[in-house]
Amino acid sequence: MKFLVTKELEQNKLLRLQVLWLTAILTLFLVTDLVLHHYQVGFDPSAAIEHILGNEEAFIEPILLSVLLENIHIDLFISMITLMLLVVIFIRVVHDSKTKLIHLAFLSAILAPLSLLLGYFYAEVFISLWIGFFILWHLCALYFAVTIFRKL
Amino acid sequence: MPQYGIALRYFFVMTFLVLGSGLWMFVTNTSLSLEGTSSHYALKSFYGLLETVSPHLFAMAVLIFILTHFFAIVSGVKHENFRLFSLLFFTVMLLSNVSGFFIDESSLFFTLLKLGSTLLFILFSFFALYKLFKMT
Repeated sequence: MKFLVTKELEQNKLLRLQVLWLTAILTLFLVTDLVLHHYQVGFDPSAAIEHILGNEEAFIEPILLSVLLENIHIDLFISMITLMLLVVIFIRVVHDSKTKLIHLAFLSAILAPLSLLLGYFYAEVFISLWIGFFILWHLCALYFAVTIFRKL
Repeated sequence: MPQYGIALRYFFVMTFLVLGSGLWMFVTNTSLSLEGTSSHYALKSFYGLLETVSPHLFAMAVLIFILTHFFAIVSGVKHENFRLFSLLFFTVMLLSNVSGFFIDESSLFFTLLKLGSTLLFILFSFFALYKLFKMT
């Protein structure tokens, strides 16, 4: 990541192009990740609750804890790498970077999987919170990406 | 710039959560016992093991590089101290992934190697996170 925070970003056209491509692909990833989770879990609270906790009347089994943990494990790793890359470039290109937005992006990415676990073990309302946090960190990341495009 | 510090600290928290969820899965699958570890890995097919090992080789190597490269670029850190640490870190990660392929019901050595190297990997990660938290 040190390679991305070099002061030569404005003068080095090759590095600028590479950073632009990285941001473009990460933007594509963010959109596809939203679509994938929409199909897998669902962003409608009732669909998400049914997927995670099951539905006795419809004979739908709850998701296995091992599967849920695996999903959380993968999502956490991907979100931390994606956010870190975008935030590091964002701070570099935007001189008056919005610190509150950086907090919001990381906190929502951290709270999303925790909400999912709490929803699985304690109360359905946390699954709705997961939907909110999950979409929120994606929107923050997309904002970082759009700002990077505009500034570079 | 303080904003890099903020991003880094969140990154470390998320790394801690990734390790925590991984450890949780490992404990659930193996019960951290010799019998549990041996039966879990001996029952897995080559394809099943590869499905786990392949993404972990990539993710763990990236994670180790990101964590350890800070020791190389932060001023005031004695490189000699962390050269051996980085070498051991990568080695236990490799052993942790590869040893699973050699475990069968009677192989005590590889079961111990899997358990030991995985726990060492977690320990090294927490140590690196602790050191980096103190530095930032």
